[in-house]
Amino acid sequence: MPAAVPVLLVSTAARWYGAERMPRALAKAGFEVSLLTPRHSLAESSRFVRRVAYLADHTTPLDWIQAVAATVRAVSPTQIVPCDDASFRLLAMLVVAPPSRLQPAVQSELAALIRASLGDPAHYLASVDKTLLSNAAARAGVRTPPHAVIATPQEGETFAAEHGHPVVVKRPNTTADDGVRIAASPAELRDAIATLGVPNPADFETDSSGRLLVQKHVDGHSCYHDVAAWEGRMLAGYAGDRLQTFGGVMSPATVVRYRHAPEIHAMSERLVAAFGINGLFTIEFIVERETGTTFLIDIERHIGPATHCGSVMNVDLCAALAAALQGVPSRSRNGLDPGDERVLVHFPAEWLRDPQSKWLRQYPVDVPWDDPELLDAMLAMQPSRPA
Amino acid sequence: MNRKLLLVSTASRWLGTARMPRSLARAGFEVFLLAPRDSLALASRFVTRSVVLRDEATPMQWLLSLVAMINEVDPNVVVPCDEVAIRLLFELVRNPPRHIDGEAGRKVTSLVRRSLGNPEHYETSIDKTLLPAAAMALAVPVPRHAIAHSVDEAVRLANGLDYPVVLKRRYGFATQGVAIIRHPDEVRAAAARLLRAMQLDLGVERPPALLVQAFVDGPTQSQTMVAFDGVPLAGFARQREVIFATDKGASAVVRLRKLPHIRDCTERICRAFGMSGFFSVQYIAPVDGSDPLLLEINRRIVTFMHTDEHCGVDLCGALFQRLAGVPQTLPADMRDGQDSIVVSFPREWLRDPESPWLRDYPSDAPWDDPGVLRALVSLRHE
Repeated sequence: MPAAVPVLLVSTAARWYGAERMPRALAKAGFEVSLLTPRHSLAESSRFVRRVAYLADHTTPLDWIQAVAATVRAVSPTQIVPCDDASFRLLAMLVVAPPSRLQPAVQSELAALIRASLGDPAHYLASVDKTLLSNAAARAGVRTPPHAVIATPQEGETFAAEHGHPVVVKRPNTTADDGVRIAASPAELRDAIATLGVPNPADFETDSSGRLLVQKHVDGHSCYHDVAAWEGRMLAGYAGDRLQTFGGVMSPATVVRYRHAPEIHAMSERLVAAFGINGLFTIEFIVERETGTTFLIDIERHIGPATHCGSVMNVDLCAALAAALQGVPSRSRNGLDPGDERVLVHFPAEWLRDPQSKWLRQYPVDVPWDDPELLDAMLAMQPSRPA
Repeated sequence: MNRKLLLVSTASRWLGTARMPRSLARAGFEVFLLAPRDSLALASRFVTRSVVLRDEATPMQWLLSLVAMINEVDPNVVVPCDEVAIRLLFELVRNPPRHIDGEAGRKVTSLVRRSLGNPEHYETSIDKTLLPAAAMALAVPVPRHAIAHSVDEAVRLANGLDYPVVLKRRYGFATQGVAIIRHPDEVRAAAARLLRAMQLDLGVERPPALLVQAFVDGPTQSQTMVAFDGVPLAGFARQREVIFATDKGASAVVRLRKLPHIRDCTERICRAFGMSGFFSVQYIAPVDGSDPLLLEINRRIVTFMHTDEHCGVDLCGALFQRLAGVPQTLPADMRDGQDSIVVSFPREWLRDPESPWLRDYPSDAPWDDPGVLRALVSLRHE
């Protein structure tokens, strides 16, 4: 049996779904899992985490990078895996635009690990910056909704006049629905541009250009493609339609139907190749209700709420990545076959949304059954309810 | 209508007891509970009020607590949750203690009769040495059997059947009071053990009797129902897919589907015994494909009773409508073509936390009863 591959999960958020389920998935695939996390995270409860390093409270980006460097020295990972959007952007910044106060030797050491984990740094920014992604994807032959990059309200109004309302306005960097507005009228569009055009103090990247993406709104449902990639080649992936959201139209999925999706698979392959991606990540598409046409919406270059789910469908992303690292064939399939279909209820998200949900009773619920301390931590998330 | 329903329990760890308050409350009942300390059911948010039994309560103390609670709460119906509870309620009607007389006593016995049906058949329905003959009279098939009244007779009768054979005492539940005998030289010791008195006898002396039964290989099937005055109101059937533990006999995963033969047999039994309340009748389906054979009747809450909602049946709702005197609008039976798997939580989880059944099929975890959910999760420490 080959030696376990050391992997470091890095996180900036204690309650971001996905990170807590990855230790088991990675450990089962042959990784030895270390974790850098804020205190009181769900992930630290997992029995599959070998070592935990904690971030100090009120960590600055430079503090976080120093903590990553210290943890890397301690655990010598072969791979570093970002668990949330901010983690990926910080790792990317460390390679592409390192802080001037970072020691060159430390930067060099970390940059090599990050390149090996996340792929070609030349495309880090284009793959996640909303104002760059659409054109880059189009060049790769991937369909995106009609869009324009704007810097003034007038440019936005011109776009809306051509394509009609509603339109979607996005900051360069968004997380979930933060930094995104759907504008149904000229007044809402002006307000969205005014609000989102102000530089976000939470951004690490310095950009005062006021660039925004304005995009034709596509009426349809989200379809997520969870992917493992290595050296610009897609290793495995599975697509799932969002059946239930936690809240509104832009909130995350709590119930997903996974299915064979050859067109999405092909588009993801093109994106992986174009951006030279390594690692585990999620691509979000939208499927237009009226036509069934699929458009790229976003690439989330970190583990997502369903990255761990593949093993139950025998499309195990962690196993595929482990096999690629070891240069051996994966023991898992690379995608779902025609006719494969499976509804999965995400826990605890759907349970927290509605404990009386019909989905919880009718379909398998993705509970960490064999990770009891993590289960306890999840159960503790539910506020007391009156009878 | 008086919506009050009293659950009576003598056991703290019965899963079914903890799950029924939700089903009952959703049907419209106001649920009261008499149970031992640390009972899982006490954690349910659907229990309106509970009274905790004294530790180490004797049967008489339990009866006195029950009488006090009945007189205070004035429930419309009383529901036994375990085997000792049903035995105590039956004894209360058939042999009322001298302490419980007068108006209060009559009120209690009247309530139990109303809740459980015709007392003439109480014993026959749960005494394993009486049930086979009664079932055969109703044309309900049972395994080959004989009744032994001594250890020597048990040995002789067992040798007249092919091994393995099954020995059963009058009263028992789960695997208590049952022995599967694979070799002739094991019969004597097992028979002697099973003829000794146990808690379920409640100190009542009866002539010694053992059921000596041919062992039948196959999956167990159950028809779970609710009835009133011998009229079946609603029911559903299931078959065991995974056993919880061989020494406990319980199911961890079941398949819900119509089983017309056992439904028919169960309805015949229900009418003949004039049964009221919730009950579940267990059969075994021989591997040779012949008709299922009756094993026992559980005249109480059982673990899977609340899974009726997984197959479009509402036992509690049907009882509520009957007690309210309104026409039954709820289905009496499962949907045609119903065929679904339910994974019992926490049983399957405790049996194997890595079970593929947990990952591939819906479980019956009490998602909207957080106190019970946490209590069940904590069972892993026991």
